[in-house]
Amino acid sequence: MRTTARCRRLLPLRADLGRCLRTSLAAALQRPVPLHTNAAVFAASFSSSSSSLAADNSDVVAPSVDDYGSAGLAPIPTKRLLHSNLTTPSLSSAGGNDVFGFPLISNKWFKQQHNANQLRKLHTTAVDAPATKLSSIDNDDVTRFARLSGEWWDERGALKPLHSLNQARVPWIRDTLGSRTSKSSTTDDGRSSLAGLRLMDVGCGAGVLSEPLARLGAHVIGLDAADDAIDVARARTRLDPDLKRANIEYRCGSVESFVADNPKMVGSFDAIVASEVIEHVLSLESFLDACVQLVKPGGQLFFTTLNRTLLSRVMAIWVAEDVLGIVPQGVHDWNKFVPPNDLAALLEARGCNVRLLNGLCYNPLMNKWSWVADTSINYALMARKEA
Amino acid sequence: MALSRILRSSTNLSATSLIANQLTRICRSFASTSSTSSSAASSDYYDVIVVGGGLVGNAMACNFGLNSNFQEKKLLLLEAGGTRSLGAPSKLYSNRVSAVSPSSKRLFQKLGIWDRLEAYRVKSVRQLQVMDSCSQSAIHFERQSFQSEVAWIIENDAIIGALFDKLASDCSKNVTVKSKARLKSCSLPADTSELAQVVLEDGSVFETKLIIGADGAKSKVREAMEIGYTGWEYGQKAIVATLQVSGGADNEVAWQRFTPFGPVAILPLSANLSSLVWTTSPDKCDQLLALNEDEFVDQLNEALWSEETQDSFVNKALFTVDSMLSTVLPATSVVQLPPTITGLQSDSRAAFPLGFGHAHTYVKPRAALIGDAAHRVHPLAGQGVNLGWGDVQELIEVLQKVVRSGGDLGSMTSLAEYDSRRQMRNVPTMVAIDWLNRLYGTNFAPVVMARSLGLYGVNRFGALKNLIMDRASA
Repeated sequence: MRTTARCRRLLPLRADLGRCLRTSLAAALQRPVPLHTNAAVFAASFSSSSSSLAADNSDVVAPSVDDYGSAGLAPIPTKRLLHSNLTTPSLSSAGGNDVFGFPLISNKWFKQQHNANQLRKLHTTAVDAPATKLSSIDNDDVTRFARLSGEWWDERGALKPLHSLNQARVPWIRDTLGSRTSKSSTTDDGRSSLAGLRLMDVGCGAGVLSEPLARLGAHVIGLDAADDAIDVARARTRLDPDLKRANIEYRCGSVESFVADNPKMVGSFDAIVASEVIEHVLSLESFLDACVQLVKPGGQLFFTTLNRTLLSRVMAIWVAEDVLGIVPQGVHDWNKFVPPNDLAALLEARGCNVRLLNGLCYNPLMNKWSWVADTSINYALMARKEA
Repeated sequence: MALSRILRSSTNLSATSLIANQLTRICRSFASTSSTSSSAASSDYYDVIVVGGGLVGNAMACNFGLNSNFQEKKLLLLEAGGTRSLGAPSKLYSNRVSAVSPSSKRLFQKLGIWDRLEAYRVKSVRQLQVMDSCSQSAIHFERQSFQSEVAWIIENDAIIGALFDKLASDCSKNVTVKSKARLKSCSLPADTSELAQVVLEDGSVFETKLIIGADGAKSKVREAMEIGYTGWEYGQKAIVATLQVSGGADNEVAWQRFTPFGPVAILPLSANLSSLVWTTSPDKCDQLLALNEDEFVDQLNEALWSEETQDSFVNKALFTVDSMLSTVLPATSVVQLPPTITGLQSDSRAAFPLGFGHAHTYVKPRAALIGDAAHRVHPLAGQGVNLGWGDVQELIEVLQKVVRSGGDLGSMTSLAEYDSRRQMRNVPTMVAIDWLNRLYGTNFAPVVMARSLGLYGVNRFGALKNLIMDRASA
């Protein structure tokens, strides 16, 4: 009953995306584990093309839909970058990972698999997400949810690279932000290096990145449109004694609606983090508008995402989908990947200065990320909002 | 009539049990609300629980307690026996000693117990001499550099006592030691969504983010982890005893003679005392333990000096090679003779079986193994506990990185790093030790020839020897 309903709902979705093949749908139906971020943006696109969907998901829908989505990015401001104010963080300050040279191919490969999984789940989530069940959860539910949605915190599962990415991105954020607070410069360890800072983790999922930031002392609001993921994240705050003490809260919704609903929080955050998120966003402009609004003047914005290059096209679309067949065809949209220059230009147009840009490289054998100069596949970018 | 009475009493019973149930439920809900109101400070949660307060577990707890990164974390050390303290040196030496490698010494210095141990009693070893009972081949290890010690022989009880004292004096803020705590069971979650749980035989229950199994070769933590384990018994037993010796000037040489039954090791304890580790077959072991002291000493001297099993053909070959090589490479070291055993210090004989064990992985979500729980080796190279102390240093390094980047202490991503680094270091050493034991477990002539020439070769070529020595003492 439930399955057939989902089937029916997925049909317009398939037509909408155009390139979704039967294999991916079958896979999505077999594994309806709802996962992941930014469902709102997808829901938004569905709702704009299919009225029945809009009726089902009225409150997951993002308020502003700038529909340039599947055709690729909107025209980019002509101001071409920018090399003067891009700096490279030293490896030690950014976590000091070893550099393994080879894994560009496998990196892409893994990343693809991971994205495909997330997208697949996202489709089901976005269409199927029940409207409001965010309220009171009792402790039995907490454990049940934690067990049900084990996939998020299965560090050896589909999201394995996302967990190990913490070893690179948390020190990056900690050291970049922490250098601003006087407290951290006096302590030799990073325990409470983010104390007193207000952060928002946009597209937090089940809190894979929000949790470490909160443990380091920051006041973190994790925001995600997938309420299942938010449920898992909230359950963990009740089980983990560190997080009970920490200052962490989760909200369900899109960043645009968060701005609309919480006018008092506009301009209140020391930093906004959007990690592995913007490659799924259809309307990058409205997404960035909202992020920049939320951050304080002089505050920072952290992004990690995928570049749109020939290399990523070859590895992501051709090798991963057509040759190896690891990723269901058409699930991944290379057009939504964001080149760092485009992201930087969009941020500059919103009054931010890009300060850091670095490549990230994944070694699937060691499950380890390292900082590299080459940004052609994964990269991390930090911008500062003008004071 | 009787039936109805029984019925009535049974309904009464069920009613009372119902009331009792209700009461306990109320009590429980009351208890749970009170525990949530007291937040995370509830006494049954610790960030880390170390199971086993031995040589390795204590070092782990001590290292954790002294590290500035863990000052806000709480560790519980569970010891099945009692805690000990390092008092004045007893007249009699303990028969269980460890050969502490230079890197383990550095760990002790970091933990601030080295000076204490040195003030108690520590015997430095400047040379290591390995001999073959089947031929004249021998190898001689000695430090060429300014640091002249190869290892230090210290009684296990002294190390454990010094660590317990350090825990009590400097780590009481974040380390709790619970003695007479026998582990009943521990349950590990499939991922970090739940906490791990430890149940003791006295019924107390503790929750934690990370269980560290330092509970020896028969580890219960390892059992609970349900991981692959390869192990076998060698069919050998080791006899330990404290010996009175004469011969060596300062008694600063550790001796090891390989016999077809197994190696005999004599480790210096003081100018005229040494510690014995005599590996032999179980039958021979029982015989030896049944002998009186004098007969035992005679047997031991024979095992050290006997020429019976010498292979004359191999010796001739060795002599030829040596005389040829000497024209090109002058001999570097003189072979020393082992000390003569004159008696036992009281009757300190004891024996234990030897085996090999290897956990295929040292980690699971919320669990990690260190020391003998992860790897068990033959004592012939004196490496076992040093590998364990190496585990401690690596695990601490990984955990402090976790804390500094706000991670979960039981997170698999970081623990896997500990696992791969330690396996890479431990497994080759374990395999080498196992093969050495097999290589010397025979008097089959071609094998004797091969190993004699090999040992001779290593002894003559300094670079190779230094490499082995660095590896063994790292």
